[in-house]
Amino acid sequence: MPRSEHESVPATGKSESKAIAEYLPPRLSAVLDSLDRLCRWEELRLRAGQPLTVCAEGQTHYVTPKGELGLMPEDAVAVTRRDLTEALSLMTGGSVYAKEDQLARGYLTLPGGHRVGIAGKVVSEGGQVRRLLYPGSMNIRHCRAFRGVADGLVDSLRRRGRWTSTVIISPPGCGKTTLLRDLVRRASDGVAQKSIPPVQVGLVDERSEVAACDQGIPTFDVGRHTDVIDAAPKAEAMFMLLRSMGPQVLATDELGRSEDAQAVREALNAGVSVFTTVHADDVNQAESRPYVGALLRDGAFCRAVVLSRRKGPGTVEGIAKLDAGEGGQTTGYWRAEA
Amino acid sequence: MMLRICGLIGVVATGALVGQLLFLQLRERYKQLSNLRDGLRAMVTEIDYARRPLPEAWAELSDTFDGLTSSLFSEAAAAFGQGEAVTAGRAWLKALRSVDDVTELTEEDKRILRSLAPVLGASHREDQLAHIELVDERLARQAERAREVSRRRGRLFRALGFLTGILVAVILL
Repeated sequence: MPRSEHESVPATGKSESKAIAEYLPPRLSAVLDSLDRLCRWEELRLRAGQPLTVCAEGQTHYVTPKGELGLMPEDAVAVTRRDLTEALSLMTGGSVYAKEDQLARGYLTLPGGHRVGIAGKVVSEGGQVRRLLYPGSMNIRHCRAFRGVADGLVDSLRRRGRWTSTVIISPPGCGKTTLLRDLVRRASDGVAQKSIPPVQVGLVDERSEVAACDQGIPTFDVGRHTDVIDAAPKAEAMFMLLRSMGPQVLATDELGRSEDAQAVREALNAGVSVFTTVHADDVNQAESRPYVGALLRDGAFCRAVVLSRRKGPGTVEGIAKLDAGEGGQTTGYWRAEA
Repeated sequence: MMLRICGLIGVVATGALVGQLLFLQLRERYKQLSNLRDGLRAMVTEIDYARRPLPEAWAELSDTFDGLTSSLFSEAAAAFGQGEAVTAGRAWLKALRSVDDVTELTEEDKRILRSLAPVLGASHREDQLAHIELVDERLARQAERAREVSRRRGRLFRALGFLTGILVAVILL
């Protein structure tokens, strides 16, 4: 599933980095303008007092004041604390309070689904991070939609005429969210050539990365029959969708907490198929995680799609068949190179 | 003779008018301060309840207010993200400068409004509310003084204007 073969669909209609450049202070956005011509960058890293770096195709490069890729840190643009403060201001619409819940969880999502991880000085109360006080570094992840990346998996993810519950497993940056988005679109729109009808899909987009909603309306194509709850806690939003929207497929990104697992169980008990993603290297590692592992061992999911970056982001390493056989035992894994 | 009487009436009327204008100028400051306080309270609602980013809130609130407050909000909303106004505070300062010629506020009033700039939009909700409340309290004191001044001096200015008109008319006789 090399991504370059698939059409890229900008979420906002703006050119590659334009949508991100407007959230950076002028001196950094000018640099970003020329980066698109040089590489398909994935991450832009800003650290106070350190050189500006960009990650492209698995490599980290320094970015010079002319927007060129450099090898030496001293040639690079030096990021200042002020740059970070100004970027944070622009990213929050000049209003940190408007995004303080996201900031307390260490990230922001920009229009277009671009996720910005933020580290720095935080304020904690009762063992929980309450708010970000001073940003010290930022990791801006360039979000791109790749239409059709799920096409090769459709047959593997259906059983007895319906979509099976599927978990997408990979380390960060391997394309879980991209695949989930396209899978949601495929399920929602159906596949006429394969006589697969459209189904009602409920999408819980806690981090606003999958659908990249603008005031509740998806800016990415997530299908004609998809209802999105944006920027809400996963478990609560899943229950909301189950109660109110009658989905046949429920999709959500990055499962991890106990309440998420409980909500998934509720959905499965209600006869709803679940598409989700999990951070792990492979199925075995995912099984060792506390709540997700229990779901996997209990046969909650029928398929696990394992991704890596071996041949670039989105490489399908295999599809594990997790169907419970007789006695509730997993019938085994099989590998598929898509 | 008739022309002369008309001229003298005109002189008296002019004196009275100048006094009235000075009174209205004083009263306008009080009205602007009161209106600005209403604007700040609306901002508090936008921050506390809607959690709306300030430029959005300003753009919307500019339609619900008039006069100085409306101009200040619309200028601040337009300034955000342009050039150096990359923070809400800088947009606020830019807006304050651009409405400077339509305001009857004193330098002290303006200083209080400018004091919001370093914190505006730069911190969490409770901090924003606390700072706006503080500025509102200071503006309330300024408004109370402005009302008192307009009440006392307004009467004085109107009387002085009228009497000055009469004095000039008597001299001209």
